[in-house]
Amino acid sequence: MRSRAPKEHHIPRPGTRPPAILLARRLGPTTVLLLMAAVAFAVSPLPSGAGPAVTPADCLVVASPSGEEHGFAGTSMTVEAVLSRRGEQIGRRLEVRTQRGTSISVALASDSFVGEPRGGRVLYAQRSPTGGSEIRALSLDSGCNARLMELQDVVRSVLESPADGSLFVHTVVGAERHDGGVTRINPAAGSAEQVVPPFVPAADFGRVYATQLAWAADGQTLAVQSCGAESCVTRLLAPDGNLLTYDTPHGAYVGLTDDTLIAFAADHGRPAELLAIDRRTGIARVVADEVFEAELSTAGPPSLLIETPAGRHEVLP
Amino acid sequence: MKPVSITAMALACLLGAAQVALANQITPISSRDWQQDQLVQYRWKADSVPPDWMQRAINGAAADSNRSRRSKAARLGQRDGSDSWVAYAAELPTTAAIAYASRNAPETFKVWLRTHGHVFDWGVLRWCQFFDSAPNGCFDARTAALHEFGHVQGLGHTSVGPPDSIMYTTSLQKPKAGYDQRDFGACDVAALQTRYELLTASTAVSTCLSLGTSLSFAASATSFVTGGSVTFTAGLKIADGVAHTRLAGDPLSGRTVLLQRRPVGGTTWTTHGQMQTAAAEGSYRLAVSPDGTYEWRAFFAAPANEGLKGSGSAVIRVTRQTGSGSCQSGCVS
Repeated sequence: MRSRAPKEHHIPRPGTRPPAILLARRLGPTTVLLLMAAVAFAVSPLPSGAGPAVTPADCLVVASPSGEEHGFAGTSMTVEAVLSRRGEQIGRRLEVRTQRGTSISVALASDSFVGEPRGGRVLYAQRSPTGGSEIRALSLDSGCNARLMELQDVVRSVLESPADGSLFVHTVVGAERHDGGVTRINPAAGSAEQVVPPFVPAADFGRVYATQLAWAADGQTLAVQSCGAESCVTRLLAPDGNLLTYDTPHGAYVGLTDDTLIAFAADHGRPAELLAIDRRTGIARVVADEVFEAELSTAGPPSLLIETPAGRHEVLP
Repeated sequence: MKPVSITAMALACLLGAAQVALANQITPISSRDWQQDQLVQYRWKADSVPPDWMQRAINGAAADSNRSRRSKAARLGQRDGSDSWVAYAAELPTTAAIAYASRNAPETFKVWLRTHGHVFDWGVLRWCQFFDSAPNGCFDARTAALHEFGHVQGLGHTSVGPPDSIMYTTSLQKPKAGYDQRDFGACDVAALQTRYELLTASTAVSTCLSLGTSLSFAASATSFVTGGSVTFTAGLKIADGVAHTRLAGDPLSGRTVLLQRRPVGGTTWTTHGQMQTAAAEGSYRLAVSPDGTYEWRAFFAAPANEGLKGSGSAVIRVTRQTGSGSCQSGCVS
């Protein structure tokens, strides 16, 4: 364990937002087709190349009760890029072995998303034949593969609320693929609203390469991290709809405690400094230098398992 | 040898001073070093072997690194069975990069290059080398690999763009200037030189540096008789007091060191000739047959193509013995 005192890494400049506190504009869900309510949890034909057909009676892909966090025992899931002979990525393949012992292979487009197994199912999204995206759920129990909804825009990631099963959907929009923000879709209520506005990068931020959605340990606060080539901006959506923007320079997201946002320093490769950004002030301090990997554990008091050139050890965030 | 005017040398000094503008923008570099000239070899990661066109780009970048490092930074090469590896993969440790490096100097490194066709939020990654005729918007894989090898060497990102650095934060797409740069930039080389020293004493010092120099100077005799000769020797090195301590005192060979003279009590120096490189590193010598008594010095003008400041040596008076008096100590004939 490291013993040296953490050092101050960045202090926001006076007069600048430290981080900016912005109220999420509760915008109308302009991009969501109201197809959603009608097709929620409904059965639909499998996409081309998908796994074995399932009977409608088996195909109710609902999330298991809370507490079933990571899927069912005995199941496995992999996602691999599918390359042409010349090495071009021409798609992805989702392979699942269900609890019933069935192996399912789903062919995906390159522009697709596959979530982590949760509640006995896997959510995934890919482009639909109409040019938008469809979000589907694959049961780790039965192998049932159902279309949940279809959206006009390109879905880049989906995260399910552990609280009420709402789906938080990040999209990009139009030919320029501008950020489309995050829309909360509640299939049960048939509602959809934009809860995180589109990310508009500053001039020196460059283009957005990737956006990650993640829940805080409490399952209440949603982290939305937008990353450019040099650094990331993380926005935290509180349960009451308040949105906090953390633009203190930082890199890849690691985790979120009640007090701190844990992230790598703006990414220049690894090893890199690991930062703890105070959620109230936006001020970052260095938790550890020269970190290759970091994992936040919130099972008890928050702790970080980090890998450095000296080996793996635990530090407090 | 034809004398060179002082005005020309003053101009050379000014040109040298112009190079200082780049100083202080040296590419940041990690303190965790490879050994000097360490040969660090990589293999293709077993489950992520790059296609042929990407292998050529990566190996080309390793050659680019070796050629343009101009320092004793690590030498890179591909060899099966090595501990370090390079992967061609869809998944990297970060979601927001076309390529990535992880280094554990002086042991191993890992480099990833993202698969052609991977989709980012902004669109589809295209490597120029994939195409017979590369379209605009593609990224040059060899340049990207050289950038990652820069990270392997310890270089960080910089806001200085090409051609002065290949470690620019954002990878450039065709046809932006520098999208296919094949060499480390001057400010990258500066970082490597300050960390690993010059490759040889003759290696040009990066123009992103502005290092002081010092000249030692000696004469084989301080007096002579008419017709005699005197051999002057000079030693040129990076000044002992430079901030980049690893370079302090390093000899500088192959430079233009001039032998100058002036009348005793005069203020204007005239170049007598260029001193020749001697066997020892940083040493220069020139034998002359003086036609009178002069004060002599060695002079090194700040070169326009190097990050070195000019310097002049101490002055030595060499006296011509007149009449038939016996030659005193140090006389040559």
